[in-house]
Amino acid sequence: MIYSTTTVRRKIDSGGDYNVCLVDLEEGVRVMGNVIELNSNDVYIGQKVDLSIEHIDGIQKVVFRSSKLKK
Amino acid sequence: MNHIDTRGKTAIVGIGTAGCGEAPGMSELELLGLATHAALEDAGLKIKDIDGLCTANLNIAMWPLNVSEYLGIHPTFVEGTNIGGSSFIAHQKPATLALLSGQCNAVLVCYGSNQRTSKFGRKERSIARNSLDPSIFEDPYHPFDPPSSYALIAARHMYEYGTTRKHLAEVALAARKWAQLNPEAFSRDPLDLDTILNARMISDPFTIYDCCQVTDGAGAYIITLSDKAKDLKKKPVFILSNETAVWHRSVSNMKDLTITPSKESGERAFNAAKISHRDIDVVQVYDAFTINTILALEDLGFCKKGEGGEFVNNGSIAPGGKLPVNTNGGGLSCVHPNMYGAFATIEAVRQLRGECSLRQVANAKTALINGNGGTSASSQSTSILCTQEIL
Repeated sequence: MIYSTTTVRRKIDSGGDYNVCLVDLEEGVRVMGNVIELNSNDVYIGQKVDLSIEHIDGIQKVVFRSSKLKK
Repeated sequence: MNHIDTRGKTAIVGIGTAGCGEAPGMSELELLGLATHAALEDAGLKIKDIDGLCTANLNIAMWPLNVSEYLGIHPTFVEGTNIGGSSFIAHQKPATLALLSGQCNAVLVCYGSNQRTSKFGRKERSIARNSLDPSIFEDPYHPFDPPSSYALIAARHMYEYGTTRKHLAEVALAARKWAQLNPEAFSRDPLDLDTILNARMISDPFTIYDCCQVTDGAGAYIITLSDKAKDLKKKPVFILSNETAVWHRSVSNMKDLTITPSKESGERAFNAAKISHRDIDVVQVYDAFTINTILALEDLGFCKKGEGGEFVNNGSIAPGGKLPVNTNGGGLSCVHPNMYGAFATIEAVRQLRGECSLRQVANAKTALINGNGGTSASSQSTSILCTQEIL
């Protein structure tokens, strides 16, 4: 569940705005990550998200997707 | 825990600033040296009288060595603790204990930064710091820090307590109104709530006006035993208490985003000072971001948790409001050279001496100062200062 969220504003030609959030996992820890595949302005506190660990930019990263978008 | 009673036993006897705003061509040591010179003049002391040194620099690990060499002093007491911008408030208790123990006779607390005009400026320094001191569980997600971490804190506060962007804007506006009364303040242009609310977003919910300025500047002050202070040039400002709390480093390790270590440092500081909130005439808090002022007022007990937004509403902390907060204009509008703690202290001293002209708080006899350090309110240091009448 999203504990807090912010949209980092960035110029379009630098990649545009992106999300940074803190998520409380069911396992009881809190982690920072990025919500992807959703406009950051539509991310809200209390929202349920799913975690996956993906290889991005050469490292293993935590990414979150809205639970509704789960495939 | 048994404490040595330090209440009122030391005093700030000299203050100085230099290069607040823009100081092109000046090194950090040169700026620090000018502020130190001003503080010595103010106290009526000479550099040879200084045998205690408290200083820190955001980029240079062994900074007390650089400063000792530059000032030509051989201090018998050195305090180089760096817990962020609160450091220059947190230095007060170690300095006090050193003075009481006889380890030294006059402590210089000093800071200088040229982050605004240096060719190796804030951006370059941030990149270097992130390489040398990585936050491995946060850096991969590119928070734009420090704004993003404090934005996460603000967003949670808004969610839990109904704090609004207008409340945040009130903090920025109050700071600007005080700055307009302070010739030393860097940002004094007219400002209104609509301009703040409609300004460019940096990291939601913060616009540029919710973020402190990036300025150059140096601040220095001198502490001696109270007995000695009475023989010096200016009216001494006594340190009733100084307490520091350190809870975490990164925002993802901050247990409750709406509660800062000020809750602990403030409670200890009030207990040691043996005075109550009603007795505080003027407040200087480290406003790195607008949410910091709201959090500090809540955690220090000036209002209940969650009521900080309403507390600052409608000009309540601006000139003419119910509680004078950040009377120099704060980090938001006066000066913010990376680490602000010394400047909050200096403004409190100026108020208690009655040196503040247009922005003077009438009959100010007590001041609370609260330092914030780190990228997520990680450390907080609270002091309560007073004039002779209160001792």
